[in-house]
Amino acid sequence: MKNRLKVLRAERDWSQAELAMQLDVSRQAVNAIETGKHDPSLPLAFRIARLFEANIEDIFDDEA
Amino acid sequence: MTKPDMIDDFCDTQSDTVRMVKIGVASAIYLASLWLIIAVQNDVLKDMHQGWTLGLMLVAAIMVIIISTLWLSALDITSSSDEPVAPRTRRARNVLVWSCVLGAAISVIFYLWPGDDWASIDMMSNGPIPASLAIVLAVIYVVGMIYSCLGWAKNIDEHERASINAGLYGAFLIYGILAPAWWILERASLVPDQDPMIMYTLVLTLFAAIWTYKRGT
Repeated sequence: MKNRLKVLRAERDWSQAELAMQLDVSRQAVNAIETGKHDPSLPLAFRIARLFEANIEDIFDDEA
Repeated sequence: MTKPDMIDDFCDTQSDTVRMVKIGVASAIYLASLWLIIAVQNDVLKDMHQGWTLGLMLVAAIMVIIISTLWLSALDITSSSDEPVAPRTRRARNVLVWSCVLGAAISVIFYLWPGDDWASIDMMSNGPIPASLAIVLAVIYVVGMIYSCLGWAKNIDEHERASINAGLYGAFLIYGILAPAWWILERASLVPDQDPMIMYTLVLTLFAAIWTYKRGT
């Protein structure tokens, strides 16, 4: 699944490790989500959306 | 200002194929080296003067630690020490460190257990050991592993869990293929008797290789 996580992270000047820290996951998890190798669960997708103050559909695109 | 490691930190520094080959080759070399060290050690121990056996076992143990460290380094499971780490990730890593300490403690107890015949209580063989030592080690291992496994399962995140599940599935497939095939060949005396520790090492190595590959860098 494609997503805008990397762009949103860059806009806030966060490293993968810093984002991982805020989501309480490993840096490898953030890297895997950004590169589309891991699709987050709904709870994690909601945490990501809340952190970036956006809707899930604004971050993740299942049709791309 | 954008930090130097900011956007592309850890993204695709090497292709998936290169990583897969690297982990596969490193794991094969690791298993071969392990087998070689244990085979040579057990062969030499048969004819060796008792005074030298402890020295040989120490050398073999150090070599096993060195090749294990090299293998773990090829798996890329370490992270930069100065990057921030989420609390649950830190707890999960602490459990892994605790498991290594448990393994080291078992080795130390094994070799320091009072006894006269060093060769017979070599950890890397199937030779008989005193009942007292066996009971102590089994209790430490079972209790320690239950604590480690529960602590790890509780603290890993969903990506880590998915990577572990992939590793477990691969390891189970290999076990399901190898164990019956070996058993059938063994009944026809075509291969040596099935050794549970060889099977355990094979399955665990394969699990670790798949887990770390799926986990990513």
